[in-house]
Amino acid sequence: MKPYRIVGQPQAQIDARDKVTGRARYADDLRLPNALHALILRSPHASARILGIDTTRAAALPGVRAVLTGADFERTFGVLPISKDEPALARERVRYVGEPVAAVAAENAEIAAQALALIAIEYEPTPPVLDARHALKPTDDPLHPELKRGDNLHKQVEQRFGDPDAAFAAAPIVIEKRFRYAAVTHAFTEPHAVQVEIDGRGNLTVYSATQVPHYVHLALAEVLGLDEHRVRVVKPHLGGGFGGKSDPFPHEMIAAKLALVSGRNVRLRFSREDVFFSHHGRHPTELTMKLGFDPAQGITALTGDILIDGGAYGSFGVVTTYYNGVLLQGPYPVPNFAFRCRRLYTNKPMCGAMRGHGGVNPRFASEVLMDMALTEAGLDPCQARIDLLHRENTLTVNEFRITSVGLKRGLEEAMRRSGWREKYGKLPFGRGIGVACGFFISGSALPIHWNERPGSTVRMTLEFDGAITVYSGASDIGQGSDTVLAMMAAEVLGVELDQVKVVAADTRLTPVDLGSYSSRVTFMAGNAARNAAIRMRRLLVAGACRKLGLSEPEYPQPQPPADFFRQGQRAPDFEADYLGANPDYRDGFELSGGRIRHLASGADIAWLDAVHAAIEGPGILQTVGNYRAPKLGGKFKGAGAGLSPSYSFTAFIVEVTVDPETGHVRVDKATCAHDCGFALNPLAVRGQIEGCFHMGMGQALMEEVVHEGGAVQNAGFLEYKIPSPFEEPEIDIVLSDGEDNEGPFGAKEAGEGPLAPVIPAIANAIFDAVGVRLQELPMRPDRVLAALRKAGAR
Amino acid sequence: MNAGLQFEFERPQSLAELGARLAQLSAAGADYVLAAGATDLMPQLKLGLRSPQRMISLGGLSELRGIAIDGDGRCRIGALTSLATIAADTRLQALHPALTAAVARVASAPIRSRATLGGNVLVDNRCSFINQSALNRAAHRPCFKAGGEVCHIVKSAQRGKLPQCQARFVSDSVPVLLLLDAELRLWSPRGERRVALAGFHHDDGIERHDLARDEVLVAIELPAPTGRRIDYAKLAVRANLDFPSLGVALGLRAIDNDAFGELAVALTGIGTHPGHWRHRRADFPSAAAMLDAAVAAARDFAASYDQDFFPRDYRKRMIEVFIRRAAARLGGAAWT
Ligand SMILES: Cc1cc2nc3c(=O)[nH]c(=O)nc-3n(C[C@H](O)[C@H](O)[C@H](O)COP(=O)(O)OP(=O)(O)OC[C@H]3O[C@@H](n4cnc5c(N)ncnc54)[C@H](O)[C@@H]3O)c2cc1C
Repeated sequence: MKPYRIVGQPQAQIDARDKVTGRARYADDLRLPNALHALILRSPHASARILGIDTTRAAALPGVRAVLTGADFERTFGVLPISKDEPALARERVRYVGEPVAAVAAENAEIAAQALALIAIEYEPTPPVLDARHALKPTDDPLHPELKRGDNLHKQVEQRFGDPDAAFAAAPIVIEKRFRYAAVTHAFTEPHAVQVEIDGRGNLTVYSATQVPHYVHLALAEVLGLDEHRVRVVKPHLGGGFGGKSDPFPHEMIAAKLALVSGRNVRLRFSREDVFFSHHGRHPTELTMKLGFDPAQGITALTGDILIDGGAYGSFGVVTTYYNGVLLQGPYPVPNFAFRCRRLYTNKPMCGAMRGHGGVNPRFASEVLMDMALTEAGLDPCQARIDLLHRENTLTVNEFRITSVGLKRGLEEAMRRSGWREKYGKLPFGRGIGVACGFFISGSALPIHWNERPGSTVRMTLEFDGAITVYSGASDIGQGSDTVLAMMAAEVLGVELDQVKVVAADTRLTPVDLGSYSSRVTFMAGNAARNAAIRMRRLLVAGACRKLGLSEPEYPQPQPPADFFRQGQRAPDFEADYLGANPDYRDGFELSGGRIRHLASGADIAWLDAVHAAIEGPGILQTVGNYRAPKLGGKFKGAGAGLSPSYSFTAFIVEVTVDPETGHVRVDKATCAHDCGFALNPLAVRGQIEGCFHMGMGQALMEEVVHEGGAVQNAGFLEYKIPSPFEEPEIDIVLSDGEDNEGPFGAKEAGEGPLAPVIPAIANAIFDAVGVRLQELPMRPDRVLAALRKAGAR
Repeated sequence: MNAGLQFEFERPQSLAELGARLAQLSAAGADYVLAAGATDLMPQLKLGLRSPQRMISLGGLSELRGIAIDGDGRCRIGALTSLATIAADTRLQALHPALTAAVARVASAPIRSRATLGGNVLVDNRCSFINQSALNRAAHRPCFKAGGEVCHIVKSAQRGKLPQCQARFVSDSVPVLLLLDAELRLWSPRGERRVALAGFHHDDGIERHDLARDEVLVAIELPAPTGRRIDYAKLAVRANLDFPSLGVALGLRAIDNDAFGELAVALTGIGTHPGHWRHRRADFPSAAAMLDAAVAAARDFAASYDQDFFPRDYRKRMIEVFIRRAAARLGGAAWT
């Protein structure tokens, strides 16, 4: 057992009670005085030129305070500096059904709706480009003429390591297949909402449902032409994001501009249909993947040719284009590796980052191919996967630094608990069991906007009454990041969780944190909080020593990092020294039960007395902690994509029943082994894994955004089929018992990685059940049945 | 705010009061809509598919609520009785377990506690091109049911070949009610009438049934059990919430000591109106031939289009699977 009181224990999230009792206030719950109601007019065309917009009648309507069109915004924007291609309101042309074209702010919603109806827009429809294949074709009218291309290619990435061709030629088993994937969306609970408060000096406070207050802050200032210090972004309670709230959005620009123009507070909320227009979900994908396998060596080569349908704008798409390839570098070594991924612009709502970003779709292909290879080689697909996992402290061919790999024991346990050996290949026709593995980044090592600042900074204060406040820019989006930060402080400072308050995601009050994406918060903000807390502990211990007449502990000087991968890459510093799993704060004191005890002498003092002693000089105790990712990666083009200080590993074993006459698939049971290093909050980790399973099962079996002529046909939760609780099986979870050397207390990510293996595990279980391989998502009953009929016909 | 939600609301407390009001409104040619649980209605109003000036709630008419069963097993189910109440009624379950099963598969628990049986019999037909927002409807051309000139699912309608709305009939309760020989008690200020449920629905996605504008469905009446055993199965990707992509009710009744004396089939979700057939064993050389005929009739009936989560071919194929499976559940392996 580790010597911890708070971390490692299941903790209810610190805002759970507020959320379940309705006390929590979400972005649309705030009541700003005298706020105007804003509405957005959206395009009914997938592709059209805007010949004219007449807003005079709308503007003249009594009660209307501001009307905006594309002409009111000079700059386009986008989360990535390399594709700032999105206007707040369409100019000259519209690129998807639902694109914002004009906006009004009025005294109430009824007037705003009337005003929208009075805006006259003359469109000239042009032929839309509705899928990626079509978008590859030459055209003299591309969606984005500014790229000066003769087609609709947005981004193409090609990488090659080793010699895949030679490896395929030498491999005893080579399999190549084609896979297709429908569009899926995040389907978070809370629709987007934003409210803008404007003060007498024209400064804006923007309350928004966002995962990335910092990026929204930067984009607002840029698009509105304001000094950055005039904009403050606050994220209130947030009801789910999954990547769907990790961009700056048009509606945020629009609401802020409406406030500037009208001089009034503004409220803007989305309907569920609006959320489907905003989308930013997983890219519809078509790919061919080829696997070379040698039973004696494992994977010898892997190549992929990937086409992703990006929709109308860039969003995170450049990153997605890389991730579709580079995230195939785990969970097993791939010595010869090549991929090409192309992202296309089409006339549909844009795609972006979604839970498991870029890694989910190719994982379905690679783990199905893996299963085919292992069965062809006569190996047990579960045991063989265990044997083939990455070794610790190795480099991949594309120079990812693989440090901790804690999946082996976990998967062995999951294998035992799921009854794998008794079931695999032995269940009656129609029932099957399957397995798949995955891996994912624990935070992107590189920032989106290049700079030398730390990726996470946490400020901590301790006042005379013992109140500890953690200030962090990290965005709690329901995943529990506030709780994890509070746990860091409580653990290190020897207090209970409720003595810690977290002030988070307020760009005026909290230091910069890059946001909640790429599963970075626990690892990065967590380390920053832990370091701030260790510094605070030193102040407290100093106070205690003064009162007890002891001399302060001799803290060791910062050490050069021992880890061979870090050598020469970074100077020794305090932050690096206190990264990771080390439970020893090197001070020889125990803080608990309201006391501080000197272990060597047994002398002790009340915790609060130590605070009072420490606070005499400064009046308040204040510390700062940082996290900076180590400098990682190779020197080739695109070497930065997928770099992470650590990677999580996951396996899912899934049991299914397949009805051979209807093709209906029921998941009977899922067993997960997840390596998140040290599970800081096992309850939250389990919640994340269950959520990942549910989402993965949805994409596997039924979820699909349906378009018809570019219009979304199922923009609601009746026809966009998220599995209901009735489809949810029992989920048994095995958490790793290891730890990561650099994660806070040894922790790695748990929010995204577990999703990807769910889908191939289900596919592989279907194969075990009825002997057919599905290569198109979702694996709807009609597709399963078609595959069965085809197999029967052979 | 949405135009569909700006209406006057009234809630009469008795049929007499309602009758007076309806007579008045009809005389004035006023625009109104009757609402029971409004679970079908409200989404349509929110989408702007209908924007009535007035909503008259039937919720105050306690005489339209409740389940009465007489000594012979005749049932009268008030049209305003909620599906949750029906699904929980143990006497009804003992008499007509298939009705309980069908009703329990409608939508979700929260919806069933508002939704009524009358509303379920009268539920509007659906299509992926009509149950949509104003923006989506603007993105396509308005279809027949939206007052336009085209059907987006029967492409040939653009050439005028099939000038009829193909929106699907989706009630989960009707197939079982048909096999129970249900009758509808209808009431209007002009008087009361009683019609068989069979034949009540039309082969049209727009003019869906025989209810007059000022008529109220008062009760659904079921004769004493005829010995017909009924099975209802529903095709939907989820066990909750989804409308039937296909619903099949199968009934088997003994005649003159022949357990396979009569086979009855009713379908929902697959055409503009419920399909309904009865086959007598006496007309066929074998029970198996009778079953084949039932399958063939159902497949012929099913004008299925791509307007649902499942593609049309799959849904058509499932008709046979569902009928044969139900037959096996009811008749075992003895279909010879
Ligand atoms: C998410 C969702 C899922 C659904 N899933 C299903 C499903 O799986 N299966 C299914 O069958 N239905 C489903 N429905 C539709 C609907 O909920 C049910 O059909 C329900 O039984 C309708 O009853 P209601 O009382 O709410 O009808 P209402 O909405 O009140 O009325 C429906 C129509 O009938 C008329 N009407 C109602 N009662 C009377 C009366 N007594 N006299 C005259 N006219 C009347 C109304 O004017 C209206 O035109 C679903 C609805 C939703 C929103």
